[in-house]
Amino acid sequence: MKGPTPDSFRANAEHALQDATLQHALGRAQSGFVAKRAHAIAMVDDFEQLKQRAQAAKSRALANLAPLLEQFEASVVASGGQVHWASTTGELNQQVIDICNGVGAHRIIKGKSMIGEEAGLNAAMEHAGFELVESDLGEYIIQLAQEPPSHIIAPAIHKTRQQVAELFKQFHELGDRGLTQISDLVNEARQVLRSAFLTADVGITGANLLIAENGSICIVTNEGNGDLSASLPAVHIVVASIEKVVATMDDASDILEVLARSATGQHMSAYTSFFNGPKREADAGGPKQFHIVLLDNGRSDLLGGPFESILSCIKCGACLNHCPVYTNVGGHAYGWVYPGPMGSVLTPLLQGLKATTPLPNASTFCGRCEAVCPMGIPLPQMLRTLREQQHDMALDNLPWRAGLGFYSWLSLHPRLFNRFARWIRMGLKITPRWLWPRHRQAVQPQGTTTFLAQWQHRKTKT
Amino acid sequence: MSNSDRARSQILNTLKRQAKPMAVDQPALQVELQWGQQESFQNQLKSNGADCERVADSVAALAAVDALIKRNGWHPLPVIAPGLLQKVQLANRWDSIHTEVTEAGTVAVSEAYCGIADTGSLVCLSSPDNPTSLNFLAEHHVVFLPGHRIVAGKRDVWKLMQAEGIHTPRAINLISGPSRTADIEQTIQLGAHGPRSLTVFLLDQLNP
Ligand code: SF4
Repeated sequence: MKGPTPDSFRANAEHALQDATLQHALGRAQSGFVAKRAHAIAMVDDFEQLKQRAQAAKSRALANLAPLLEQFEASVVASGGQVHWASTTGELNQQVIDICNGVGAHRIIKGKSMIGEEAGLNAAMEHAGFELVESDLGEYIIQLAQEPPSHIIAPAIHKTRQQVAELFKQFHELGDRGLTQISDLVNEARQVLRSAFLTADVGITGANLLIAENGSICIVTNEGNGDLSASLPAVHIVVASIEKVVATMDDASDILEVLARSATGQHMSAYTSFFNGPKREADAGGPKQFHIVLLDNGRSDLLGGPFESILSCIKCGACLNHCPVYTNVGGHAYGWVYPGPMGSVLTPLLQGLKATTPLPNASTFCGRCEAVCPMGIPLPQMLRTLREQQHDMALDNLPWRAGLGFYSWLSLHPRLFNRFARWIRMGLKITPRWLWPRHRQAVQPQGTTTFLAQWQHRKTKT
Repeated sequence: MSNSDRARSQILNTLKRQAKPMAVDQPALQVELQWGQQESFQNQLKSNGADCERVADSVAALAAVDALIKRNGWHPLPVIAPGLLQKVQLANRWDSIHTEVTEAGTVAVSEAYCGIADTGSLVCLSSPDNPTSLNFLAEHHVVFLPGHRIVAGKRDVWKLMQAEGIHTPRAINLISGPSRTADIEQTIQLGAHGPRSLTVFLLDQLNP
């Protein structure tokens, strides 16, 4: 089965717009996230100051990425853990598989990890013969449905309760039962996943932050699934990308101040946990082995360049929730694991502009993403730069290029431009509306004359 | 040279080559540890969906736990963190102490290191006295916290740990409410994987 790709964004979007169930789900999600965030931010005295502190912590980290990673590695080793490095996603998957094979593992429980999604870790592990279960409820649902996430913090946001109930009935052999309420579904997942937690040989989690000064990793969840994955199995493997490292617990704290507020509109998620090395000798519980696999996958090349600040992204999802494009077409239209404005920037940078040409164009440049981004990432500017780059590389399609060429020629010839504008205006007035593309509003010129004619008229009057 | 070593030097070399070292302005150091208000801690915690009550001592708190169990029909025997068991007087309240955290309806009682007033969070440090699993496996979680141990913000927690000479434990859990999920239709449900309820007792003193 070949799913949607970034390259087929237009078709994906068209498809999504006609999917009534999806539209319903997206409508609810948008209003929920936006209102909760606004409320949480209104509750703090000075959110701008919190943002500045978080951004300063991140700038310090990016300016010292190499030494901080070295310090982080040394700290992890000092606390009894092991650090592995991977340049590519293939290397990351292999390292994780090697660790699991090394301990004779078979059953894996996994917490939510965007790096895992980026690497296609689940498929690689299943291919290698492991039995892997996602423990975040949203991730579990899309694992059953065999779909990629459609939102970076709410992976199954596109599913309705009826669709989830159907999946559970198909995959859980629990006989006849009513699964009409959301609480029924959550309880059933809790019950099924609890036994997966208790029998897993290895727990794999992502990390929201890596702390150089003491070698801790920070996981933020509301469900507590990350904590169980990190604490119950005998081996804990963390997969994280290199830009997650910050210098100190104080810097981590500053970033945490803006993370949950921007993501779910909570001051703090239910569980913010710092894990450090394997279990201490006297501890009754906790993993005996603690591994971290650090992934680059092209990020180191972004440092020092025009796209460096996308490395500040803390995957809060605020830019998705406020994006008029994302909230209409949903995450799957973007064709890969990172959707919305941050995805339209990051996906082309990680996968190359050639296979992702439509993404930087999937924006109205309304600027809301930048306005709500707690890390102050200039997303529209970066999309603009990507558009320029793809134009320079002649990646945009021929009609578009020809149109742009014609327009730039025309705008250098004012008299012709004026005449052309009048024609267009006339044309728009008489074009029947049904000729207009669906999902777009037909522009009907108002008034009796063109903007340029009025401008000229007023200029001569004064 | 292993693949990991090769990747390591490749990544670090690229980073060192690409980095534009900048003078990093250190944040203004707020040197003093700031304590927080009990009241704002309580209010925040409640707005996070937890219960919080001030009691005189651990005897009163344990009586309250017993009442909770009876009122809600939870498992009759609580699981109590080893560290707490040593400190408090159970006074034959329960015949035996339960250890099976995963059983349905179980309530786990553990002790927090401190609280954070800003966000209504409990700070739990893992140790043989306070195993992490207690915080997550039971269906209901009760936490005892000495009322005077509430700091202002997250940064103050690290200061307090440093001042008290505590080494980084295997797990530091900042717990700000019961386990929840909004993964189905954005509707909040409590008790996703962790405890369905969180009850905090602020103790004026440990023992009478
Ligand atoms: S780009 Fe900004 S708003 Fe979007 S996910 Fe990243 S940090 Fe959040």
